Amino acid sequence: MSAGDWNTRLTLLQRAQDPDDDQAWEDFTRYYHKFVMVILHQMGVNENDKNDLAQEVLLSLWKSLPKLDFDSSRARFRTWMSSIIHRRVIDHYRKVHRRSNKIEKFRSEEELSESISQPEIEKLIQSEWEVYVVQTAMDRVSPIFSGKAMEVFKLSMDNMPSDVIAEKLHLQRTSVNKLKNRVKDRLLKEIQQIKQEMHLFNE
Amino acid sequence: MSDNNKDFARKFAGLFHEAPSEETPIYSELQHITQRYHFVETVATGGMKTITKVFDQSTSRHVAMAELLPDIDSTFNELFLKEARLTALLEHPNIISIHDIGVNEDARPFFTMDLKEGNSLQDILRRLKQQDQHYVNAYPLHELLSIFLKVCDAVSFAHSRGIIHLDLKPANIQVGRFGEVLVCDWGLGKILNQHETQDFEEILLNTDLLNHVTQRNSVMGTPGYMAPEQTEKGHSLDDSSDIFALGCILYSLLCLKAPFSGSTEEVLEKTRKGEIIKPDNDLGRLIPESLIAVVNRAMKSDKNQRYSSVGQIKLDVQKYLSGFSTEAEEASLMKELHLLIKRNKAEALTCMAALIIIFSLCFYFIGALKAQVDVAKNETTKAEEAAHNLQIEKDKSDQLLQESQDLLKRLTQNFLSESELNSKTFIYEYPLKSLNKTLNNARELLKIDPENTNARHHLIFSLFLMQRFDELNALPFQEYKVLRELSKKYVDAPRDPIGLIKVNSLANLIADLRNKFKYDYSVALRLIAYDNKVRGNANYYSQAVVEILKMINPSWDKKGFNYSYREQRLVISSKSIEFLKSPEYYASGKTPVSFLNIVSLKITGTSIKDISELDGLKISILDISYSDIINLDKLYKIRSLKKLIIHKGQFPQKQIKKIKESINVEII
Repeated sequence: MSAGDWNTRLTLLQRAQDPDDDQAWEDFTRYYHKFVMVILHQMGVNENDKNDLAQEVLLSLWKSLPKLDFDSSRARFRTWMSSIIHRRVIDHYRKVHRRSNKIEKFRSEEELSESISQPEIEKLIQSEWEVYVVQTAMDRVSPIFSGKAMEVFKLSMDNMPSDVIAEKLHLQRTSVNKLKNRVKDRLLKEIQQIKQEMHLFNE
Repeated sequence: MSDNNKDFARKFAGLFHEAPSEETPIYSELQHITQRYHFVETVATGGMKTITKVFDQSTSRHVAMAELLPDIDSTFNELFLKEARLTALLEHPNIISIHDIGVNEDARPFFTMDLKEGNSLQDILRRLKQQDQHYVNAYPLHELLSIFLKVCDAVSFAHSRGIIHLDLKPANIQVGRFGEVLVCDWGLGKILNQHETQDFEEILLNTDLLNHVTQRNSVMGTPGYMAPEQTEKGHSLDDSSDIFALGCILYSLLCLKAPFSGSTEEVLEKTRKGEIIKPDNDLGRLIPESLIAVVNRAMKSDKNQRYSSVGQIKLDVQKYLSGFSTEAEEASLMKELHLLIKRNKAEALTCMAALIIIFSLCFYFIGALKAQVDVAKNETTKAEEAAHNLQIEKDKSDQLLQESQDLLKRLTQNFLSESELNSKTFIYEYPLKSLNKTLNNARELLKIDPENTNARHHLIFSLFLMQRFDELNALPFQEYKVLRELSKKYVDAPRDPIGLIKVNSLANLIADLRNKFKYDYSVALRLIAYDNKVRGNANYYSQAVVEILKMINPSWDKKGFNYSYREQRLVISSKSIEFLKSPEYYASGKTPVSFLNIVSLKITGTSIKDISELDGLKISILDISYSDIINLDKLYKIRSLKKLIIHKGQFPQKQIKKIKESINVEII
């Protein structure tokens, strides 16, 4: 993927605002479904509810996307997302509670809603987002390089000295450095690209 | 999404904020350079300036930086920068390059130049003198000379730009590991024909920028390598000063030492006097005379006698390198020839080898030819001998042939004469024997010489006489047509049991023969002779005899011939009969009448004139009365005669009286 592609590529948010782009919803869910799942998981939503809740969250997000004016409300995106998630989760547990009417459940919901406030979610989103992007980049980069190159990179990230890595993996010291730099370079570029593609936060 | 990556991402989430490496590092680096040169190490420090190795951030490489020493008066700034500018003028692969000239933060001038790699030529010469094996291998004379040529290139280039170096010496020549040669330290360099201020001249003359001559020394340049005119003030300096220095450098390349030795003063003195240390090869080095000649010419004290340009030195050295004689040595013809062979070693060797091969082949072939000639000579001799022998043999065989031909001739002759003899004489006496012999001889002769006509004749003749007509008819010959025709005619004639044809047939044969054949008479006579001999009976031949007599008496009508077998008496009474035998010489003297058995013969009334016609007859009674016989002289030839009848008056009395007494003469 060349640099030119990055520049001309429409961001997901721009696409979501285009009613004719049918592919946009799928791309949106592809990018965000897992992330929302992660957030929900972090929030302590139990496994049974996670999937349904995630769908609701994604739909809400998608519906509210066209209304957003990102040029002026960059900083508020996180807030917007966290509020939607927060609201959805609370709504969900209320519904569940009404159906089951179980005191324990309710309590846990109360705990939940109290324990994770919206600002906390916002913070969670931010940190989880970073992890999520790095992980996605790793997933994309890993197949490109040999197992050894990835291993070299990971070991070097763990601050293992080059010569130790070289000895461990039976490589030349220079090639250890070369592999490490190459993987890292690629990974960083991938991270940049994913940030641009998703373009929800412009940190 | 692997958990592995998830863990990693959680651990190194900070990568999220890390920017990818710069796309244009050089550009950004250059943008942020604050200090271009970073000191690395000091290379050399001299009286006025210091050379340091610095890292040039802009070009990202190490260069050499020259700076005036801090305690040097700023009046020298200009001089210092002049060196840099002057050197920068000279863009040549063999002249050190100036990269940057400037003034630093301390307001001190500096310039940067190529960082010298490798050794200076001085170092190399020193190592060579120490017999450092590595250097001895790396720098043989021709390598040194090629370095020298590059120095010449550089100096020649500088001269073309009107710049003279004035301090050429091995220490100022840098030799890289890959054969790159740099002429450095143009600090004393001078731009010719440029009017410089007297002050500047003074500064120049009183200064050492190049660290080897002190400020106290009034000499500019390095003793030992500078021209005599440089040792004293007031001389104008030009190209030829550099040429002198180049001569010195060449000298030290050859001899591994400077051309002058001693203290500075001594050296200067010697330089002025031109007392060059005599080149010797005490180091075991080969010092080519032609190069010494170059040195001598370059180092002439009188600068007008030196080479007029650096190019000429270079040319001479190149000449030496490519094996020609140098201009300076004024080589002899022999030397030129020697050099010609030397520089064309491969060709010369090839030529030598070719000549040797050609000559040896020539000698070999000459030897071989000689051997062949000898062989040929022997062969010729042998052939001549053989030819001689052959001639002898030929002569012998010719002789033999001649002999055999002679023999054949003689044989033929013999045969012929014998046959003649036989046919003439013996045939009558011994017809059987002689004919058989003739027949055999003819056959033998025809075997040897089938074309022999005589032999053929004799063969035909003999067979004819012997009445062997069937044999005669079988012969393929063409001769004696008459005989052959007769033979055909009579081949079936009735024969007597004895094998002969009947007597009347014989008479007919003789009659047929008459006048058809040249020798009809003799043939007839021989026919009858043979027949008689075989038959052994002479009584029946009267008819045949008549036919024969007709041959010699052609006008005869066959009348008046009466033969009585019982009375053994023959009476011939025809006047037409004149001969009883042929007068021809080849006929036998025998008369056909002799084949009749007669005792009494009467020839009364015939024309017989000669009594010798009766020769050979064995008669007792002869009646010649009234015949034409008038002479009785040859009567004695009839030996058996007892009684002679004559008529009265036929012979004179005198003749009658001469008749033998035993013969009774009856006169009627």
